[in-house]
Amino acid sequence: MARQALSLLLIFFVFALASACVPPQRDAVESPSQLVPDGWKPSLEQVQTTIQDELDTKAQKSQQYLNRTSQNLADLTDAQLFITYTLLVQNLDGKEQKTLFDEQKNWLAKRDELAQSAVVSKGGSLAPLEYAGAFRQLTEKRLTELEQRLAQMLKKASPK
Amino acid sequence: MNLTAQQKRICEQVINVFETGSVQGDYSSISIFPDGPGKIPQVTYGRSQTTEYGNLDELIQMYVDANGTHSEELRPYLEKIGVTALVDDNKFKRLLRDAGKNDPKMRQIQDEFFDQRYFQPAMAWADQNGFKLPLSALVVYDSFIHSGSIPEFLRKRFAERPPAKGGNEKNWVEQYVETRSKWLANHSNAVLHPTVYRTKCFKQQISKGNWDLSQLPIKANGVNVSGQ
Repeated sequence: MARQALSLLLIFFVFALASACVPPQRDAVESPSQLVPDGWKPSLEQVQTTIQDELDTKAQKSQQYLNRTSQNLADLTDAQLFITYTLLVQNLDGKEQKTLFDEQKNWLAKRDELAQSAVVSKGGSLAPLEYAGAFRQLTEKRLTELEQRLAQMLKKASPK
Repeated sequence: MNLTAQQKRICEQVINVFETGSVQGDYSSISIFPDGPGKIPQVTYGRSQTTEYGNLDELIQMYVDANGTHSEELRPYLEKIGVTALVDDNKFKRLLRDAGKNDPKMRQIQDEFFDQRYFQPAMAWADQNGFKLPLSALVVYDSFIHSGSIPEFLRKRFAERPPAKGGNEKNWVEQYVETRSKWLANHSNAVLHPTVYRTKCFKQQISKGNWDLSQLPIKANGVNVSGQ
């Protein structure tokens, strides 16, 4: 009985030591707490490029076309930010997740405020374009920031 | 501002092209933009665009009162517009599209509505400031449609005073168009740059001396406008 207990204790000790020595590989093993299955990252780049190319090359751009297209591009950039934010969240521990959540919540409020302040043509058909353009610029900046953080985090976590 | 029916029609048609790409305008156009209260998405509808949380209820009330083809189906929505979000209500959006596309009554109502909402206030501003020429009317109307007014920050960027304050009408219009053009073309928000097709059109008319809008057709963003 004592021998069995000692064997169990030894096994537990070896397992604990092994766990402590190997750095966590968050992406390598799926776990129930994982938010997104490995390898799943929807691609929005092609649709974004197609819309942007059409916007750049179309000969006649009515105000309605410009407003709609700019809003579509702003929405796509926001979706890219959402994806990157989600991937970043799942690579953080609980405390870090809470910090990022609060940071993102504050940033979203600030984005709305800044995009709204970019609208000077109140009541005019230019107003949606002013808003969408500013919204997209702000979102692109934040996307770059979060993408860099995610890249650094994955680099740290990857096996050498 | 005394415009002939033809001159007024030219102003409307040029704006229709700027806004929708066609001389007749797009009466069935629906867009969704996140510019409702608290930045929620809202329906934007019609030839010169009115919004769900703005004046869409007024437009639909006028249409319901006019007994159009879809008036009875749209009547129940009167109490919801501006109160309950209708951005995901496919029946509502389909009714708006169908009415704008197929019912001449909706087109007539939109003409009246947008005349009251944009054209008349623009002409009232032009009158108060002493403008008399048809091309001035077009430039002022365009600014009301595009920017909601004659923006004060642009007026401060040029020297000429409006005619009511002793300025020269043609100089004021020329300087305003030039100032507006520079503002749009050099804006830090690059998506605004393509909209200079509006001021480009006005500059062409100014250089032609087409102050009474009699030299037709007028080329607006690549489309010929002849006031027919």
